[in-house]
Amino acid sequence: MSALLRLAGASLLARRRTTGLMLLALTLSCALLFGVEKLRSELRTSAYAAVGAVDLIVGARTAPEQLLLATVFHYGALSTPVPRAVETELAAHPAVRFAIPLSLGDSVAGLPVVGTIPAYFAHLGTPSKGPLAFQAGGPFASEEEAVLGAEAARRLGKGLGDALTLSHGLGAQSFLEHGDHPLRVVGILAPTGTPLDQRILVSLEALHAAHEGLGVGGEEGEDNISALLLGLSPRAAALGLAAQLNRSQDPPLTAALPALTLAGLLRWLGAGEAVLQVLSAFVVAVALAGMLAMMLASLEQRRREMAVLRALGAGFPTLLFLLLAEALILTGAALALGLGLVHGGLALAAPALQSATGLTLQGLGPTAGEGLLALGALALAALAGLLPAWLAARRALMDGLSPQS
Amino acid sequence: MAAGAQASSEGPTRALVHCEGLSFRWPGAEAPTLQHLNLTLHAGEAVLLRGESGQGKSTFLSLLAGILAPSSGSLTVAGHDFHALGQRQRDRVRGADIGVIFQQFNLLPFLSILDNLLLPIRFSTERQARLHALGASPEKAAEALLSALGLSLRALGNRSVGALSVGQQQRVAAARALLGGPRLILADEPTSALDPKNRDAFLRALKDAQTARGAALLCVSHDPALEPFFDRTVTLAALQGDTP
Ligand SMILES: Nc1ncnc2c1ncn2[C@@H]1O[C@H](COP(=O)(O)OP(=O)(O)OP(=O)(O)O)[C@@H](O)[C@H]1O
Ligand SMILES: [Mg+2]
Repeated sequence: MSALLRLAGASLLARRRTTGLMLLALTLSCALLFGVEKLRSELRTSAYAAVGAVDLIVGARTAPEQLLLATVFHYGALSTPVPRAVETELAAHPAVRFAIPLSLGDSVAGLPVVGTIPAYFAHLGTPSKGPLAFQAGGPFASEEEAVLGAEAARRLGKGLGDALTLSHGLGAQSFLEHGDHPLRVVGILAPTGTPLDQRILVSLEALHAAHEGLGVGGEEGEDNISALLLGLSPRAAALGLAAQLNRSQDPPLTAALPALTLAGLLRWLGAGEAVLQVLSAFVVAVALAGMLAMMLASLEQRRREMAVLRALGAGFPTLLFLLLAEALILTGAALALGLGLVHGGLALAAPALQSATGLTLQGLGPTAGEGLLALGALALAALAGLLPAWLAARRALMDGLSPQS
Repeated sequence: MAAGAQASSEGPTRALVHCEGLSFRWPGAEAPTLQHLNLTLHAGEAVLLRGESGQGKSTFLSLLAGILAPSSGSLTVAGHDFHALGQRQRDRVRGADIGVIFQQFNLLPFLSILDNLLLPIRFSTERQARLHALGASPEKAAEALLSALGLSLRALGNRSVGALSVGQQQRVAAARALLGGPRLILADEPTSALDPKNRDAFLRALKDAQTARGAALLCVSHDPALEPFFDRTVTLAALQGDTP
């Protein structure tokens, strides 16, 4: 058995040029298959990690998806503010463990500035739900202080004690500079792999002061916030509280269950993912068809090899095994190489992905999904290899000792 | 031919190869390649088979090796009725008891000399058992056989098979066919690439190995100079003309 496998391997090596090309095609297609699967599952995990300990997101009446995207992923804006009285009211609710106000809409060099309260750091740890970890310094304590996410600190090139000025409105080229209100960096968060890494966190008062200085306060007075993040105990209270809040008319509110809303969004994305998955499976099938063509084409030049093996006592099952082993060795090697390519490539691409989406790919180890894909590809390879194997073994039986060469 | 008639009169039981009225037609061919062929071969006997090109000598060897199945007639090899046996059993008999040497494509170029030599041992448990009974490891036995054929495995080193001269390749192929003690050796033009001196040396070594084991040898060749090395010479035409 192992001697036969070595024989198959030696024969493959002897044809290293065609074998190499075939291996390349198979490897690239397997990498595509694994890459799509990896991105799909990793982006899901990261997206759920970004929600973290938040059980309910409350804002002015809008779509729950918009509320989630604006507060967790900094995508889109919330136009209608919520009176701070709502925070006071909800904080007093018996099921509410914490209520963290958020004031959104500002940015520094394209990085979102979030106004909030120091309790944010105590409650919004992700994903272990402990307090947020700092790599340097600690929470802000006054309106002159700011905390930077890990990526924000890196991109701004700021460290503890450095000064920071705020601008109004999201976007890299903000033209209104709040020059009069420089803040001091007092803390830098440890990387979390979520959009939090890109945030600049300041006190609600600091944001308000900045707006007043420019006269752009508008509705976002000191008594208004953009949204509230709630942690509940028991967590099951979220459903009832959400229903209650969604009915409220004074002021009209929306309460979004982040995990549920996210699941809905991802399900919607799922259709696109399915297309990608089917496409990448097709690419693998095409590569396997190429392998089949290569094996069929090589039968002619391998007639002598087959005749020698036949003469030495190799029967149909032995030849079948040899040729099938060839297909499986090739596919197995391609799967291993493809997996290595994806994991190596993602490790290299992770920083770019992090700055583009704020999501960090966490578990870069092989997953059960990939194992299933690999098994599927091997089964397909065995099926594809069976035809040339059968034909070659069959032809070897038909040839005598002197195949016409 | 007298020798053929004499052999068949001794009956099929003691014969290593016995065929009677053997016919074969290639699939798709309009006329049979071999027709009513009779031959008896005894253990220890060395026979030279001659015939015109394209007459069916190689085809006949394939039948004797159990690679092809006869269309009609009887064929017994090493006590097995090849007509009754299935392909799988004929493959086993060949693996265990038949050594095939051919001139055109002898060795697998991607295997080392030793790996080439050991291939039949890997395919057949019978050959393994026979070597084991002799108390020799396959590697040692291969080396001994090669030196009997005038080659030193140590001197050749782990040179690739392609780096051997044609004559050296043929001797390695002969050693491979003989390793593990087959009872029937079939050689298809094994000396056509050799100069007279090397050809004679090769044949002497082959004959020595064959007589030492008491195996039967059937050798196909166009070369009349080979005749002195063999017990008798038959032509394909005569084998088919002979009616028992
Ligand atoms: N695989 C095959 N399929 C169909 N016909 C074949 C096959 N091999 C040989 N033949 C035919 O069988 C006949 C005998 O061929 P064979 O190779 O046995 O001749 P030979 O006597 O060995 O010739 P040579 O002396 O040239 O080697 C030829 O007509 C040949 O075309
Ligand atoms: Mg021939």
